[in-house]
Amino acid sequence: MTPFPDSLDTSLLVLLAWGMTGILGFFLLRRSEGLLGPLSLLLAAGGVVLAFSGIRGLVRGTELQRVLSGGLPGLPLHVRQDPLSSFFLLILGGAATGILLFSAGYLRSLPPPRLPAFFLRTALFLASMEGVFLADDAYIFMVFWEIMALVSYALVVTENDREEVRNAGFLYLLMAHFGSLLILVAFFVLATHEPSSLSPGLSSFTFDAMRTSAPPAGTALLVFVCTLLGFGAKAGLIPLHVWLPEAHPVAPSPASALLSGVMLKTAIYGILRVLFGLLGLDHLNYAWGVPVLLAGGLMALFGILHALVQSDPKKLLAYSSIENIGIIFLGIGLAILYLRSGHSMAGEIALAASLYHAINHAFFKSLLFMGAGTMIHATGSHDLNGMGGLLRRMPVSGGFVLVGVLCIAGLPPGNGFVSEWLLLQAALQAGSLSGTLLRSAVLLGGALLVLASALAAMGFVKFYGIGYLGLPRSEGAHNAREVSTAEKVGMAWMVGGCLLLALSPVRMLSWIDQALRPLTGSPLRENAFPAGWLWLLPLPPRGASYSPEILLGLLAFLLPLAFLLPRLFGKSSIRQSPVWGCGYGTRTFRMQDSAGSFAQPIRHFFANFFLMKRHLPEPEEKSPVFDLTVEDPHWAYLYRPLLRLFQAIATLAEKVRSGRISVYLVYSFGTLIFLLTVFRWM
Amino acid sequence: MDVGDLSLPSAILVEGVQIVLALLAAPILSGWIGFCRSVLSNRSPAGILQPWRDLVRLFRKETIVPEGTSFLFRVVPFLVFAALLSCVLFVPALVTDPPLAPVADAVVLVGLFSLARMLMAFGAMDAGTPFGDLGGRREMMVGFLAEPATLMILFTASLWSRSTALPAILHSLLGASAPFHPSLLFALLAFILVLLAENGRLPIDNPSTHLELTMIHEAMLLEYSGPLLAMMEWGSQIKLLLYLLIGTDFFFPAGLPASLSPGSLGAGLLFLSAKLLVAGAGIALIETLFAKLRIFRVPEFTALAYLLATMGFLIHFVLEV
Repeated sequence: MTPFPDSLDTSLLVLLAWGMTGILGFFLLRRSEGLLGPLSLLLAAGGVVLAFSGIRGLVRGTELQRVLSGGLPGLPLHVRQDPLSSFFLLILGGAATGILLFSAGYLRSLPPPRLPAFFLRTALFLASMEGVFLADDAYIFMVFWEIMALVSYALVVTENDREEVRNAGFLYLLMAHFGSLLILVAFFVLATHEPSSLSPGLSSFTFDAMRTSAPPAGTALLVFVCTLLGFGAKAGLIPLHVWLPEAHPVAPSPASALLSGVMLKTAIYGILRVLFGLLGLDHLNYAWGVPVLLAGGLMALFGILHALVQSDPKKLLAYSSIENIGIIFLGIGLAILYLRSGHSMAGEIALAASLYHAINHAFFKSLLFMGAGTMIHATGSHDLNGMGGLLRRMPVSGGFVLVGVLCIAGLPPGNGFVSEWLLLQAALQAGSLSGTLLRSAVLLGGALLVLASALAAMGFVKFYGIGYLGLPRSEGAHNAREVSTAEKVGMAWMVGGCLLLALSPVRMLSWIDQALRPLTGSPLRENAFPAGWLWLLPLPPRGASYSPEILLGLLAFLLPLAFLLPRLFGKSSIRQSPVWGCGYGTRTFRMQDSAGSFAQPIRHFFANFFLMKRHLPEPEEKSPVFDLTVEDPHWAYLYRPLLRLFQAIATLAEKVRSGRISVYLVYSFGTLIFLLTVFRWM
Repeated sequence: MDVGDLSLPSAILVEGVQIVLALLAAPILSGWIGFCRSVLSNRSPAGILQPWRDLVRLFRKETIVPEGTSFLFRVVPFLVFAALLSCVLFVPALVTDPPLAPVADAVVLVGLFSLARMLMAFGAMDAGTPFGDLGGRREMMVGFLAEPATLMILFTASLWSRSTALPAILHSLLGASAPFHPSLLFALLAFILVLLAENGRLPIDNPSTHLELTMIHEAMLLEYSGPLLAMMEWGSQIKLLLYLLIGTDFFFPAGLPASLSPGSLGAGLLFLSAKLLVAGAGIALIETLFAKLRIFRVPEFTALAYLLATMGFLIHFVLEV
């Protein structure tokens, strides 16, 4: 016995502490708002502890299990922290810490009456996500999953006096329940195939029993589809994504960061847990990887294209989350394909790249959502067209956001590049697959990935260029002020996370390898990283290699050299002058690109992805207005027809409702007779 | 992984020579292209040292920064320059295996080019002028169109080595197994298109234009002057050199010395200069023969590059397997 509690106990303590702090904070904050700082620090400390518990679980590769008493009679609570859970706990703890530090400063602007409830919801949200990662039977998993859905709904509708917020919340709730139903089906099907030796009589619904279940191929396919769609609804899988760009942006920014940065990862966790952990790799077919791969690629493309045309910075980020989840799906699809067709090395790399991207996304997307929050606070506008020139006014937070922007655009030596590089390396192994169709599918996926990441660069040039650079586009932007220290600390934490992830890929991969080893059965490599910590060499001995540390070192060496070069020639004075602008005398902020005009080429080239309504003014109009609305085509072609269908069914059903009790009695009688006849003759 | 078979001093020597040569040669290469263009269009050429004279003159001027810009505007030229210059260390030019080549494979190179492009766009947008925004937007547009094609070319070239490490590709193409494969021909055609698009040459962008509405690359540099402009221009010249080096590595690798003896190095350098001169003249010829495309025809151009590269890829599968 060590005096120190093991990682599962630590995690459970954090869960309890988060819940208690939330309830305590709810009452304390009603008395005094000044306690927000210390209480947020308390929650953040929980995040740090949880992250360390995750790291500890990953380093040791331990699997700890407990059966807690409590819950319904005969249904004890099973909890378990294996390396996969540890990895996601690391994501949760790491990202939550920064977000909580940030919110200590940010939430001061929330109207005081809303503060206690918001604090409680945040704490419960964190605790429920942790519960999802720790659950080891279907009951407790679903309980935490539903708490998470409900609390996150409450977070989304924090500003419930606006109608768009209420609508977004309702849409989210609807989709969350649709997803939960499918997840339940997947669990039920798995549970019915538990071996009878383990659970005589009733199915036990524990994950342990499900792990040993052996469903036939058709049933496995059913589980596969239900899992993908069920968790996909939470992850923003197209076409179930429509709630995401509505719900994520309307929440207060720290909540948006949690929703996009962390909650989306619970869906990824769920998919990995059910498909690779419970169903088992042996019950998957390699061909199933192809639709996942292509869906991921299309999601990435669709998400980033729609991100590009948004002018609300938070909506832009929400659509970009769809892109990033698409990249993760792409990796999962590749992994299924490779692992089941006997290319374990490439498959491992693809799956590891997915997980790497998941943790990367948690850090840079949270950072950017915080940045968007500070932009909105500083300018009072929710529109990029009301921002601009912020880097001059907010150099520190603007600098942090710049790091996030470069990382999410997938540029070396950032962290987003590492995961995309690994994914491409996996895709490049397509040559070893048999069958031209399979190879083409993998290469198409790779090409979509590249196209999406190049578009992401453009999208984030728009985000940063319109939002932070150039001239201020509104009075609010003109008077913008730098953010508070707490907000800076929170953002700095995220920047630190991004840098660590960017610069120590080998360490990170060895942890991910630990997380994946129990799932895929084949260890990434016995001699995991042959070239040492400095070299990322996924496919030794002749494969490509990459060393972000040395690259950054070289850049750091060449940059001062570049600074010195002009000094060699003489003058080093700097003079300010009016802009030249090709000699045009006036320069007003309205001459800059608007958020809409920056994306004009995208709308032009990818017109099929958008539903556009354009109003061009006539020459003789007195007050000419150019108007453009861009919509997600899924609304027009899928959801509104569906809505009309449901309404039509409802109207039809309404016809049988006459309001007279005698008619209803006839209905009951008729049904009774019908049922009796049916059962008599069956 | 160690620094190849070289000892540390000779490794540093090789990389040092490579970087100094690149710094010196990049403007000369641009001068050579300008020279050929002038001759081909019956103008009297300015001499191949003209870009160097321009650079020196720009460096002597004082730094002028437009009002209302942030620190980013001043830092961008140096960041862009450093990012592009670092690529020189990874591309085989003097020897087949530069000691630092394992740091970055071809995908990282494409990423570094993309980093430079994004930073340049930021610098352009920081000035807050319509032309800066226009240039930044168009540059990013050409970028996202050309990048998938670039990667398809890399995929095709790496088919023999199954690795995107440049030396590995080079060795596999130097080997006797595939002296000249039809897929490489397609990849070469695609590469020429991408090279023109990525380096702001005709028919995508006119490097010598000063007509505001048709500019891409120049529009981004509009507010830069003096030493800052010199860094940007020098960086772009290095980028063009890098593209030509990658092109010769992939498609005309013959003559690259594998050993470090002075004789073979000298011969290699001679070979390389000859190849670069021929390639530069080729670019000048293309630029003389074609007119600039409308901006909305650019996607067709890059789609053609993508298609050619993909065909090269598929042909490999059809013929080999």
